Amino acid sequence: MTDLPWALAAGLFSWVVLTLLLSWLLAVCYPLLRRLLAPLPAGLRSNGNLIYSVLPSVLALAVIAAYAQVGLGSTWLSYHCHQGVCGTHAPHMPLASAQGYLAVGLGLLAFALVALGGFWQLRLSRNYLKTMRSFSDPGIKPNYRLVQTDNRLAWCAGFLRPQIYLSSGLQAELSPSELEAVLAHEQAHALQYDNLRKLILRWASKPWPNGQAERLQQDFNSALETRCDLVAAHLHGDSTRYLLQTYCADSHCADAQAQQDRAAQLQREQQLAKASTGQLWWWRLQFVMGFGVLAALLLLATLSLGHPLLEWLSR
Amino acid sequence: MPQLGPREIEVLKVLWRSDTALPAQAVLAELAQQGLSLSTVQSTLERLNRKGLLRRSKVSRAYHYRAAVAQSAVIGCLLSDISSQISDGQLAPMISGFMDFVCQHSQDPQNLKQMMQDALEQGLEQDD
Repeated sequence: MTDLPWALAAGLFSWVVLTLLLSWLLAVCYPLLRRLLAPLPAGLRSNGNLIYSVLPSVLALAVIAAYAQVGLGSTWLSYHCHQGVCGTHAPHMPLASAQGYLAVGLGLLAFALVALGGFWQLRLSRNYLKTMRSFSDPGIKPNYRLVQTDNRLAWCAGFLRPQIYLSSGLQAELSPSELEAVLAHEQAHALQYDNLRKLILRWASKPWPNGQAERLQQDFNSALETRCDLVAAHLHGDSTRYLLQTYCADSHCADAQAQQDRAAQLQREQQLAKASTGQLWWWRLQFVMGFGVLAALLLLATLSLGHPLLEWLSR
Repeated sequence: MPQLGPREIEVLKVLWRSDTALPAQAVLAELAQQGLSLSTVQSTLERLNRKGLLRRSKVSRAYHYRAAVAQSAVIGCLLSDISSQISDGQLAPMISGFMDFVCQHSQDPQNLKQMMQDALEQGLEQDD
């Protein structure tokens, strides 16, 4: 790799390839992660899902950076030569190869499509946000805006400066204390930048097979909503019944079984939230150690296998 | 729902607040603090009329405008658009806590859009 543009293109291609491979590997192993995260509180579950989704791209970047430090190569790379040149070296990706050009070109195309798709989505989202804001009015309290519709809705919109919206239909139905709880739920989303985290997870899981990506996103969203429900419930003396009344009055919760399931889930989460400090720290330690070990193993494996793979692909 | 710019939304809000049809000058007076010109307001009204969101009638030599669809219908269409985008996965990260509407919408996906389409068609039929 002698000139900078080619070096950058090859680096980008390498990052795309390694990210894809690691993403597919982690997607296959996601059911195992689900089982491991299941006993943990909602906050740790959502963080676990997010970290798991961005791990491939972060590790791929670390590997590319490590490859650029040629002197370190000898610690994990088996000795091999290219056209008589032996010793430690960065991945040898020759210029004079039609397959190499094709592979790098495809990698760049994939990256460009993803970047364009992300830009288009952000633009679309911004247009909708602007329109929604134009149609809304300041609410009774300064921390939300009111939208004139009979539908019973409350939502938090936006990435970097999230705004809470409430429908007039919902405001008319709620008592002042219920309104406080609904706003507390949405405020919890805003304070944690949940929409931004959802965006990151959605894009990080783009390479995943559709079914697994959808499951990951659903699990993540469910954990976020549960965490925010707990914040709202805390304002009302941890009343599960209160939460069910406020959030399950619509048709999708009219089913008795759905109500029971939701009640059981919320009660379990409230028990987890009341765990002792020692238990919480033990869970956090397991969480950090688990992801630390996973990241270390994946990093070493990718460092060893990525070099010959990239050279083979660009041959 | 047709794409609406900020100025078009402000004009619509003025017309929704009014009980009677308004000429362009009256709309301009309501939007005085925005520093718009009469021609700007007239062209905005004309655009909204072409989009089927207004009805107009001639009084003396001037057109008087009124909204052809209610505010709740327009907002319902906006929410319907957003929820269909959420269902398709485009806007999902942007909005938290929207799922009640999505559930309702997914059970009856055409209802709001049909309501808006009907309102637009009625508006067009009654236009001068």
